[in-house]
Amino acid sequence: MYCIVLFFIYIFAIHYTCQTMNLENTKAQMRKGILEFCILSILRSETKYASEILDSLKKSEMLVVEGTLYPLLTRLKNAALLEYRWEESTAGPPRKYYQITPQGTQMLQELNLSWKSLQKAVNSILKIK
Amino acid sequence: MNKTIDINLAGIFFHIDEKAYALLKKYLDALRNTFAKTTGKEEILADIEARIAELLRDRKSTKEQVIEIEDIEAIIAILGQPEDYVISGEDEEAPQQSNSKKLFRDTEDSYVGGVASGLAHYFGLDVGWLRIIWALLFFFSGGSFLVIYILFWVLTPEASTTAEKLKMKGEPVTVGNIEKKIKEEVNAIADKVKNVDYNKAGTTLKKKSKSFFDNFASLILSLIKVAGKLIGLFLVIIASLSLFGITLGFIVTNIVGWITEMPFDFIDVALFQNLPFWILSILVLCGVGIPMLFLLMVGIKLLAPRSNPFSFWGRLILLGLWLLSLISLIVLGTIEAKSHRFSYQAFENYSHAVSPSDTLRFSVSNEPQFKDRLTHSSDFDVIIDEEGDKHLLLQNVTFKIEPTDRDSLYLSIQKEANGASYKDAQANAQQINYAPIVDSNRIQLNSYLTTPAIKKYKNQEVAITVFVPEKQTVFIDSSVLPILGWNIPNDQNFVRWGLAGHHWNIQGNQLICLDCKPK
Repeated sequence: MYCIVLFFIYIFAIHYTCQTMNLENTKAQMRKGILEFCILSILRSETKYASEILDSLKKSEMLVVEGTLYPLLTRLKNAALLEYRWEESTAGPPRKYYQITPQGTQMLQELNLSWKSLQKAVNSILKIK
Repeated sequence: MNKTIDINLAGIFFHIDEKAYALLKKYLDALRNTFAKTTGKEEILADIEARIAELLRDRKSTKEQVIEIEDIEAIIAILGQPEDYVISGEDEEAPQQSNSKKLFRDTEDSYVGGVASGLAHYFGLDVGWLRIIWALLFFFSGGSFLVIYILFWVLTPEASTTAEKLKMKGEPVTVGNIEKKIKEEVNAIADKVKNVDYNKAGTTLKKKSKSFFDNFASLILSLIKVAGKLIGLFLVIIASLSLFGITLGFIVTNIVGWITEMPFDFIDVALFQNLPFWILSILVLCGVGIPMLFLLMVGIKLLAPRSNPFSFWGRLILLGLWLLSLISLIVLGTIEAKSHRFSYQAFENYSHAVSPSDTLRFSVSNEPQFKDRLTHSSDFDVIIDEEGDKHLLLQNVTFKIEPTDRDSLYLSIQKEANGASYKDAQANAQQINYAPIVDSNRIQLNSYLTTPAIKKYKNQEVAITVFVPEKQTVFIDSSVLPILGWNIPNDQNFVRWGLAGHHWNIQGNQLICLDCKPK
């Protein structure tokens, strides 16, 4: 009897954690995609180095802590959507200035389009509600 | 005063205080762990180092200023905890959090060496259970598990540092977790220190003794708890085994009884008027099984105090069933006892002429068809005669020889039986079939009596007494031994066994042996 009860609790716990994990995962994926979209948008017309990108993101409250940015930059660079050049700095270590590549621009346009349609769709759904 | 260390961060030179250095190093190591599986890990880390250098340079106006722990803390607040670096997801960049546990001894939660609690952390079990398992292993292995315990004690490292404690519990070793853990410990120590200050030196003795008794009390309490669990385990094992046995017995006997009917002739004949066997077995099942069920419940309750194996009404119904079956059994027992209340003895006397010069031979010769049944030691059996009627075959027969003053030999057959009334007992006694075969100088007895099975077992008995006159010689065959009675007076002072297989002459109220070896 005791074993059966334990077994059910166990199944329930697994079920519950699976649900919450999926939700967290979706949220994270959404945030990640949007952040990448934002980084590309910030860099669309000018070259900037990490702390400038950070300032823009922080202003619009897209980022809470800076750490999140670095892996994303590296990922975008590895995907050839961004490139960088080194520039000496008087105040500290040399800086990496990031610049959007033609591929990146193309990607950004596509993202813009899908973002707009997404926004429209989501808004209409929210209004219906 | 603190020592400082010189470091090179992204090509920039810093003076850093020892504590600040330790924190920064931990932070960077944790980041390295976080990005262990990420592509471009070195680049990301270099970027972060550069950013840290930049931030530090912003905070300190001159190169001579030393970086302190507050600076590092501020920078960590800006950059975020290692967990914040990755937006966790299922893709290939997700960090492999090192959740792998390691086996340590937990000396903070220990009775002896902290082995049990360490194992509990390792397997994610409750410590109490593991302690019980250890205790049981100690008892049942005859001490060999003591050696294993000591081996564990010696070979398993103690979790002394914070990182080890986290690893022991399977929490990922992140800066955040380490900080949390350290804060917990610091708070605990601070509380202790505060208390000491508060109580001052004058009350230390009292406090010490109090804490001693507190510890003692908690030790006793936990011992009681463990003992309770042990008792609970014992109860559960015993009760479930007996329940299993009783139920199995119930099912098997009833099924066998249904199919063959044979083994239950006994019980049928022996007990309770005409009550069907299955009713009786259900009564016994309830009467014995329900208390076992209650024991099982108590055991489960002891093991898991919050469990509730049966509802209040369930328990009430069980209790009612038990009382009902108990009362029925008592009533049936009383009826059974009543059916034995009166006893009746019927005497049949036969005289038999035998010439004094002849030797009278006593022997037992049973009918061949009963031989098998009479060899085993059970007192009664059920037989079926040619007409298909059931008869009881009972071995309650005794044989005795007594000297008499009369001139001629005579047999007295006493048939005795119990009954619910005097008349009933008389009828039962008269239904006993027992007839010895008496020849001129040979008396053949049976070692059994029969009675119609419908009369049931009512302590039916037959006692044969042969009254033998003076000077008569008798021979008691060894086959008589099973039914031979006690205390037949004889010159050899044999109690019973020696009497068979010898010739005897009746002289002066006792039997004189004619062919015994002189003492």
